[in-house]
Amino acid sequence: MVESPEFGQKTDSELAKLTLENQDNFLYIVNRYEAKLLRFIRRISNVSLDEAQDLLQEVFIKAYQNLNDFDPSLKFSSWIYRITRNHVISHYRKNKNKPILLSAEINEEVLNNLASEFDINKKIDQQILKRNIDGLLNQIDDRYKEVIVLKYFEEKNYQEISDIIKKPTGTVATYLNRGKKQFKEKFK
Amino acid sequence: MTDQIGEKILEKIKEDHIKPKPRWEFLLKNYVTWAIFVIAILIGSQATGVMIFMINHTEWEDYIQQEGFLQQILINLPFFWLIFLIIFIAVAFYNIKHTKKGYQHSPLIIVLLSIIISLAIGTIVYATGGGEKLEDIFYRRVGFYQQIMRHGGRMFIDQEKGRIAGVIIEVNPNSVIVEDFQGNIWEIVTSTEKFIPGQRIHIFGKFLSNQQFEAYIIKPLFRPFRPPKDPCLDSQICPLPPAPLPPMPIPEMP
Repeated sequence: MVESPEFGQKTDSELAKLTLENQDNFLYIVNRYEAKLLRFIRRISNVSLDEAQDLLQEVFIKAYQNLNDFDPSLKFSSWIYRITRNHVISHYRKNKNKPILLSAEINEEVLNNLASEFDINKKIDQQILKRNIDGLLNQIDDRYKEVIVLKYFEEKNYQEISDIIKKPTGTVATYLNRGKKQFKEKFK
Repeated sequence: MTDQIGEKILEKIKEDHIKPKPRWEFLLKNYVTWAIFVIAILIGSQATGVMIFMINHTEWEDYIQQEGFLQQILINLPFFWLIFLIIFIAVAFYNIKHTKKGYQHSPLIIVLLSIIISLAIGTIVYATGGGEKLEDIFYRRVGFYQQIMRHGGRMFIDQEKGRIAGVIIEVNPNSVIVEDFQGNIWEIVTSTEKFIPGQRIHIFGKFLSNQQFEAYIIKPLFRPFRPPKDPCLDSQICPLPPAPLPPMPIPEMP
């Protein structure tokens, strides 16, 4: 299917509506979210790339089946991230596989973000952070780690995180503070 | 990779004839969740109504004056209804959390709000007599509840301390016959105009002999004593009131 530039400018909600009229339009949604969600799956699980791609495919099919449940008052990205997160959790439960965060795709921007957020100013400290980030994050409680990933890796705001993990924004703020505190303690 | 995955997904959707679930299915689920929340709050409110009624109609000062008053107070607290309320608030909480936007609210606020709503509706239930009626229906028809109430009654009974709990089974001109919750029959000498058979009572007094008991205080259990119904309220039974006398002729002044 050839992508139409006109469709590329449509909002996610519009694309969701158009998909309900013609299933081929779902391809635009897949193209828009595929890379982001694949990265997110790998960040919150310890699965291989192949397995992550299988999970991603299942996530998109689930999203397609539940398109009528999408509430336009939410951001579409929050909705599809929620489906992804829930699917990874149920996959983990089925396989009794503890999710372990991978930092394979950590880039400079994320690293700088984290360094400034956690008051890590020295270059040498940043190097240590980069080398040990996955080990450090794996020592944090899962529920705090997930919020840190969404905030600093996926760059979601409090409301979006609240919509993804289905917790009040106050709880998101608490989790983030506790996660940061644990992270700093481990880093020391 | 992009096209590959996207095309693969579309292929699978077409091959397996996967269709989006209809909108009504999600709407129905949401409405059912809300309906269960409302029903749970309403049931919890009924329990609150009964609790208000039971607490209001227990004369606590009579129990406080007794030996082992703490136990007496515990016996009279409506634990059954409190647990009933907690269960239905938990059901309400679970359901509101599973509505579309329920997760946005703090659990504490949801629980507090549920309690406030239950109290508000429960007060109306109590004020309209619903609390008393419901307690009575439960006592008569729900065996488990009756067992709990009878167990509480048995804990209250202490012949040495002069305490009996039971049900009036007969009202005589100068005494009432009471079957206590241990199955003993007692004759209580007292003025009887305010008693009716079936009434649950607590008695403070003195054990005499031959299943006779002298009562100092007789307390209805959660219910106010009511005078027997006035048969004259029914005009077919009662004679009509005498007709008013004709006005006296005023003697003319000379």
